[in-house]
Amino acid sequence: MKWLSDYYKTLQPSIREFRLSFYLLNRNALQRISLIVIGLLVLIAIFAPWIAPFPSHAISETNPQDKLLPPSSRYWFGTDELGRDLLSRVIFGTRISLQTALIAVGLALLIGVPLGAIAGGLGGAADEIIMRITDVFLSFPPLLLAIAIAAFLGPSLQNAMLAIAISWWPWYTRIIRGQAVSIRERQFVRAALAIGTPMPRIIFRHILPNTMAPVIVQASMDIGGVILTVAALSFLGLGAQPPTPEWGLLISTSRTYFLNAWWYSTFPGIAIFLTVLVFNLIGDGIREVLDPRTRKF
Amino acid sequence: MAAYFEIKNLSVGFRTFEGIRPVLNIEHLAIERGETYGLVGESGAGKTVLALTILGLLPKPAGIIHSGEIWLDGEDLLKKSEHEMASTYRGKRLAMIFQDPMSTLNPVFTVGQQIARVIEQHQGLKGAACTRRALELLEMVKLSDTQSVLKKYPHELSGGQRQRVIIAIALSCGAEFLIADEPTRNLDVTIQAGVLKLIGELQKELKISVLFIANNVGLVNVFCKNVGILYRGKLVEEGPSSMVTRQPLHPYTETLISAIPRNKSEKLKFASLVIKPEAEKGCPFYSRCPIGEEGCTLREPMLERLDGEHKAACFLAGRR
Repeated sequence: MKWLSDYYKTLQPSIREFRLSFYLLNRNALQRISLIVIGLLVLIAIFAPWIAPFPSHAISETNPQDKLLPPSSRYWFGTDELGRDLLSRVIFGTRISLQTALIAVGLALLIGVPLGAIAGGLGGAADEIIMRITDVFLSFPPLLLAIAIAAFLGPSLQNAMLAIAISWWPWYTRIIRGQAVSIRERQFVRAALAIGTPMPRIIFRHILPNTMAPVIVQASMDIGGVILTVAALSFLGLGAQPPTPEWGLLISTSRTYFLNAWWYSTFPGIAIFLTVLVFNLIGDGIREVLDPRTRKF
Repeated sequence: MAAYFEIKNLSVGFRTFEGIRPVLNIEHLAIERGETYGLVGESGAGKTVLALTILGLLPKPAGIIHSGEIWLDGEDLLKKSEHEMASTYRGKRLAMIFQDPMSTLNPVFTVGQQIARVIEQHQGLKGAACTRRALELLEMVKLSDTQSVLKKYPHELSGGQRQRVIIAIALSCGAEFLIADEPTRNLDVTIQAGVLKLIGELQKELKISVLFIANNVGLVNVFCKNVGILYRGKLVEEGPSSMVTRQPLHPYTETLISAIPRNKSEKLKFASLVIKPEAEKGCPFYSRCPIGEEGCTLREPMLERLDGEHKAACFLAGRR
């Protein structure tokens, strides 16, 4: 078991760091609530099949005799036009929203971060080419670009994620590139060169880690925005397809019944609102913690 | 016989908006194996440019090497490809300590991680062997409590400790030629003494050659065998350190020495003041020279052997 204790020892500084960040996040009441809500959302997403009162209603099972019932003790959030329990569908929607948001942001980071590091670290022609490509992407309004790409790829949840990642990565490339350009001129980069470290290694091992803070902040703030965009794409019919219980899609379908079934659009709407809100709050919190100037002690 | 390290006719320039501006012009500079050479000059004289040129790290495309040879142990470094320099020279045979210990270490990694990376890359050591070697290195630079230093981030160390860590990293892979570019800048005086003593000891212990760059003649005198005085990219005086510091031949060296405050009664002379109009030709120091004559502006003085190994580039040096 020696390797395990060795491993723990090497991890210790990062654990210490993590604890400190967590402590700082945890001190602000608003951020503490956000953390708790995010924790709950994650738990709901993971244990959806066990939490939902009618797990079978989530996808396909229909009960036409119970259609469009208002909230009651049996159906807390009411039912939809096919008699499915709305609470169960919103719960399963949590799973989809969190998953898609994480994957889309992850993909965008995966494309954007290395490109930004290469552009900023190498400079010259590589920088020019990469940054002009991002300029092309950034010249379209992000939602419009996502809609166009999703429409081009064909409507499905996977394609919606892909579309969001494609329209989102240039932001990260820009942030990283700007940071990398300034860090490239720092003494320790020169020192690394002087000790014989090859440039690619310097870019990914010395420059990149120093550029991550603003990107982590941006990504954590973007999760809320991405959830909103996924919902928007689904609302427009370009994202999740029925019978997927995606929040945007739920709201889209509820439009028809809006006047006599208020609960149908209200509860998925609240779910979106709440999730986006807590992710934005925590993004702000992370920014405060990572930037000592805004840290409140 | 060729010296271990030798610079011949090196000429370096920088591209500017007004054309190429000469920065360095060194006819000859030699350092023997296991010897320390002190290079002194004011800021802007070209000391750091020389260091970067030797390592092949001159900023591109601004810096241009017009001509010259830099020989290290029978090989011309200027003829090596970038790949060759990176894989077999930098770190393994040549190493450099930079001016400012505060910014030479990467702030996001622990000292241990940074040492380990260099060892891993050059010597292929892994895991426990790597840690053992890192501890050895930290002990070599006389740091106490090495175990805990290994786990610290650069900002948790003092300036002196950081400079010791940097020296440890520089010497981790068996470099035989060390360039120390004002290693004691930004350190307070007591720490300076410690770091200088350490470099001197390591130089003797590891039998490495050191090119010691400084802007203070007093520092160089302590442990350099030979000293060169650099002014506007040219060597204006060169010789054994005791001779240069005790009986300077070039007026610039004199002003450098008199700039060291010694006691209250002595009046300080500041040679930074321009006292004469700039001459178009001739001695580059003419405009600041306290003893310059009309004749100095006719042509440029060359570095001449005046007293054994003691050389100076001044027409008036031999006549005084």
